[in-house]
Amino acid sequence: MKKLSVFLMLFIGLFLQVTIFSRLKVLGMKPDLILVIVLGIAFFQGSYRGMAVGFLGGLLEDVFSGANLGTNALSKVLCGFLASIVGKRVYENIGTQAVLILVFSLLDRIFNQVILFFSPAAVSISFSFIPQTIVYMFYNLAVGILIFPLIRKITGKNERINHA
Amino acid sequence: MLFFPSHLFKIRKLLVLLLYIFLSLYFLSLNSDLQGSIKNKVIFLLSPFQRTSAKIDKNLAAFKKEDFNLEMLREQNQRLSGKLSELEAERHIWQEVVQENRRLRKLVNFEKTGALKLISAQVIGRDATNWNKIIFINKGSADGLSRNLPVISPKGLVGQIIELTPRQSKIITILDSNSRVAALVERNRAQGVVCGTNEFWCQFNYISLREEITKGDGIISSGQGGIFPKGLIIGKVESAKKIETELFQRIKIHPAVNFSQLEEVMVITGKK
Repeated sequence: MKKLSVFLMLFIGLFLQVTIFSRLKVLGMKPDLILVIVLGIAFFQGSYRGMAVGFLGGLLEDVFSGANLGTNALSKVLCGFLASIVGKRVYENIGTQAVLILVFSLLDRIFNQVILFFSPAAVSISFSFIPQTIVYMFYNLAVGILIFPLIRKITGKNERINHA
Repeated sequence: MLFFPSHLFKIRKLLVLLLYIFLSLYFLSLNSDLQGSIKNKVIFLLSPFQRTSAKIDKNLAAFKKEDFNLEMLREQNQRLSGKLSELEAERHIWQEVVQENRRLRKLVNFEKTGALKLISAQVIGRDATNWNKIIFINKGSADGLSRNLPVISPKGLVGQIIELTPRQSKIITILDSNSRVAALVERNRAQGVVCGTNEFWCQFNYISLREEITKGDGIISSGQGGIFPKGLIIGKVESAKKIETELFQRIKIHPAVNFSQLEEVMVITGKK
């Protein structure tokens, strides 16, 4: 049931991203709901689920974008893994979660840019990479603060599993 | 956890990470045709979800405009505006044809330029990430569309179809950094290539320093390259810089189409 809810959350996140949030761009940027969900799952549920959701969510993003398959999957898996490592120490503290959303949004942008740089359809660094990244980080933070309690409710309280 | 000592557990975690990284790299290494076919299958499977969310999105947008309760009028309006869009797009083409005719009258042999066959479609989704400028439309191969067909709106050129399923197509817009359109300046016919930047503007490349390009000059497709017909409006010059140490000018174009508010497009399927 919980797995199904996580799948459902990913799909809803993805379709909100390709429709409604595409209308709500700030400086050409929309939030990455998939990243926020991956971080939430990694913080509250640990690395295995964080990585699995990161991989699946990233692949879905790749399908519904112009990116090569695997680009976002790789960056989200790395974010999910790293978030679970630091997340196990901070997952109760909302302030730290907020800081981590900012940090991982930045990391996701950097991972993506590096992967895109080496991919066949190389994407050069955008002219407004820095301002856009700042907007992206804070937009993700705003969305994260809103949906983290929901993720926690859906995935269950204090059920962080598999942390070593 | 009972059977896994801590260090083995960490190793297992790392192995799982490596497996995901390997899988991601495997997907990245696939050739574009294979990637395209996998993407198309997934999009086809998930298209009911996408259509539903597009409907919700549209209704929300309609709610915003306070016309949600005028369902019948909206449908009628939609039909008429679709027709109007087609006519307006045709008008732009004809304007270019008139200009072309003026030039051709000076020549002995001239070719006739026909009207375009258009299929209207609705935008049902946009790129899931911030890295590309892709849109999805609700028409696909079952409606007679195929890869590389140009897509326009009443205001100008939108892009071209890159992937499609029977009921849905993916369009790379002219804003995407992988997009290239052969174009010319309406006023002095200087030819170059319009390249996307992943921003809200495009670059007009390969225009020599000798050409006089001024702010507000109209840019249209030149018809070279065989994908986009000649005369489609692309945008207007926003700025043109000449740097003496460089071979070409740096020209910034403001696209004619407002991509953030794009709801309906037309696919050019051929000439009448």
